[in-house]
Amino acid sequence: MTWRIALPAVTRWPSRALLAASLAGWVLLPLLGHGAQSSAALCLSYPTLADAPRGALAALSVADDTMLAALSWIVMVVAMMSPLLAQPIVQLRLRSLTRRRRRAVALFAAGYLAIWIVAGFALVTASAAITRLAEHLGWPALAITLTIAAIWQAAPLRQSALNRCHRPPDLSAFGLAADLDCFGFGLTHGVWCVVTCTPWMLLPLTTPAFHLPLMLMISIALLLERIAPARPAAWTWRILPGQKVAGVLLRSMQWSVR
Amino acid sequence: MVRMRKDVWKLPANDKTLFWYGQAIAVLKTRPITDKTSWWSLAAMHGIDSQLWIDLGYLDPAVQLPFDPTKQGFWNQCQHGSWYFLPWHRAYLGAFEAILLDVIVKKGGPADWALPYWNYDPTVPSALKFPTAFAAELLDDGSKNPLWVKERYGRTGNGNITIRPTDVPVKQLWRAAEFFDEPNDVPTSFGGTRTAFHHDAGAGAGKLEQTPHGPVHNLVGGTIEGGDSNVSTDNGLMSMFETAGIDPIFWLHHSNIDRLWESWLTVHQLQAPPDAHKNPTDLAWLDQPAGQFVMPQPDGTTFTTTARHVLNTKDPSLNYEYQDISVPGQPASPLVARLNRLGVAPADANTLAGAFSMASPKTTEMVGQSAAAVRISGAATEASVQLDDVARNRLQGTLSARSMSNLALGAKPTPPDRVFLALENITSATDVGVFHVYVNLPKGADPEQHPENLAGVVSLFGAREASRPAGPHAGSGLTQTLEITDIVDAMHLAGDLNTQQIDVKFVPQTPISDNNKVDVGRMRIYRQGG
Ligand SMILES: [Cu+2]
Repeated sequence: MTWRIALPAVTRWPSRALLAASLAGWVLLPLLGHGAQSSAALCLSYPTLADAPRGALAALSVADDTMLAALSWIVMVVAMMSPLLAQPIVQLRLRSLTRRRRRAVALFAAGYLAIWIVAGFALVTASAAITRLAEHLGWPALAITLTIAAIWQAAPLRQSALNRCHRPPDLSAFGLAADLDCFGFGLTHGVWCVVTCTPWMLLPLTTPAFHLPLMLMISIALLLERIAPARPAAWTWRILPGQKVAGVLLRSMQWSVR
Repeated sequence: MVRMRKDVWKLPANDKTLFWYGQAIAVLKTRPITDKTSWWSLAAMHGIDSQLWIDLGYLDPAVQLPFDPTKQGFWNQCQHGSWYFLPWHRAYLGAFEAILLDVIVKKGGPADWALPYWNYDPTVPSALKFPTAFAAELLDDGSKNPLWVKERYGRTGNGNITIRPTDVPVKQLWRAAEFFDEPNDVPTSFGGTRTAFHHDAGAGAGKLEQTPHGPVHNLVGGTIEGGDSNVSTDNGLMSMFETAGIDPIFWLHHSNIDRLWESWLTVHQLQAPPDAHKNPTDLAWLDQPAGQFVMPQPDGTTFTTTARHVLNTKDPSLNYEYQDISVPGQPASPLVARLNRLGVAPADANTLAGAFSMASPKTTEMVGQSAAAVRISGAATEASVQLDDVARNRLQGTLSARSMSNLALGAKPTPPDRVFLALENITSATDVGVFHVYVNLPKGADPEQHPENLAGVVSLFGAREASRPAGPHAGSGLTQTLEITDIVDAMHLAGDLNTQQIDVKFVPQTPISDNNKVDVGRMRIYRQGG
């Protein structure tokens, strides 16, 4: 009997650098006040971070709460999303001249983050609206976000966005055109990623009490989902991201311990 | 007793192999598509498009189908563009053969019947002809020939199936030492790219799936004369995944593809890496659930199998071997031969080659890239790949006999790079099309006169599905990688490699019009070294 677990190789893709970035994000997040707050501790909620325990914040000596909120949002995106970037970065490096590879990845990351920063503002607005709607209806906000996320997960549009996340980039090789293409690839990949992940990101935003554990669960689910093969875009009953892969991984582990 | 799969062109005059094949097909065709052992369900396992089948008269629209024809499942199971291509098709052929054998034995036929193969050997012109028994609509007694189908239009659409040696090269197969590639590298392997599950991006086809597999599909199927190859009903059955399995020749074609896999395993080259010309030992390939194949049995039930269970064809569950798996004309050490060509003294070449075989793992670097997409149509299309000076210099350095021979000075031995031309994001409105790719052809020269500049052949088999933006590949198209090491070596020796760009010429071998929207999104040149 062997206890070696034969995970699909793609699960081994994320490079050490990406995993380190993600891990650093997860370590930083609580220090930035996440999960330690009693009130609506949103990633990017303007007023609440001011009330957060000051230890880590003071160390960073960031005066502006909005700046800090933005910073913590970026840290969260880094924590949750960097493992998902293994495939596009590998493809990007393969299509870049060796001496341009670092620069290409940096430009890609800049474009990608820019999209998530913009999306952050939209998400905070949306989650505030949902919270208000929930109060108005007397429902838990979680019920509303879960419904939105489930419907979105079932929709063909989301699957086609997810398929586009797998699309290898088309990049110029030389000069300014190459730089622009790498940045542009970051932007477009960011857009498809936001479209794919957004309703799930609303979940921790509208459920402050379980913010961190929810985020962790969602990241794992989204990562598993990214490993699955592309499907034709059509309505589906698979409303949990990564449910298919989780099943296969489980069977695969049983298989390898037989 | 191990059954023997025989060469269809070497069957003795009174041989009954094809007679029984036809008899079994006739029986399987009478079974309804709802029966997993019917001709129709067996073909649908490879692929089905219900509307197309109805239009072509192979499916009754009134029939309630047992599986959703738009979904991947028991039907539409075929594995293309993946390292599962070969084991899946072997399991598929094995299940098919078992069902036919059952019918044949029940009809009083031989218990050692086996599926023959069509060896379109590029060195034997007579073997490139379409097997005669499949070509006639009627048999001598005036009855319908079960081996015949109407929808075989051939190269130009007039029904003449002509295959030329340059359409079905096999030398590149023996040079591909590794069975599979990792998805983070340029695909250069024999058997395809590691894919987590089936049907990943259209980038993972191995050498054997690319050629001769693809061109034979297209050159048999083709498109009807005067028809439009963008319209599926105008295309031959063999031209498309969704219909290929209906044509009886499909099975002899894949039998040969399976045979070439056995041949590849017999290749032994000196100084090759330890895993060269061997099947993967990776558990993910051998028996992971992701690589499970569901196959029908003669009694109508199904069973599940994996690559591990199809590696030995003589195992009782498969119980066959091929009449001939020899690989003629292989140099004992291609590396030594290459070093000699590059100018390394014969006395040193052996020592050097031995030292290289212990070199570090391979590295892949992009050397150049085309500026824009190229539309392929008409008689020929010219394009070029712009080179990066730094990367090209590095490549040239590894080709220099002098630097290779500096080993005595204690420098780390660096083997000469191999060079690949990757054609990426090949999109198309049709599945039918074959074109040749020439590299560094002299200006104005007739391509036919320069076989030494022929990098390879590309087919569009499967391109349409990979090109649909709404499809699972999100329109990323096909990728095909052609080895151009020999061409680049020749350029280096002729002093032509000190160049800013390398010319590429696409020469269609089947009618390809502008309307077919056949585009090569990017061309990239990669060097791969140790
Ligand atoms: Cu095929």
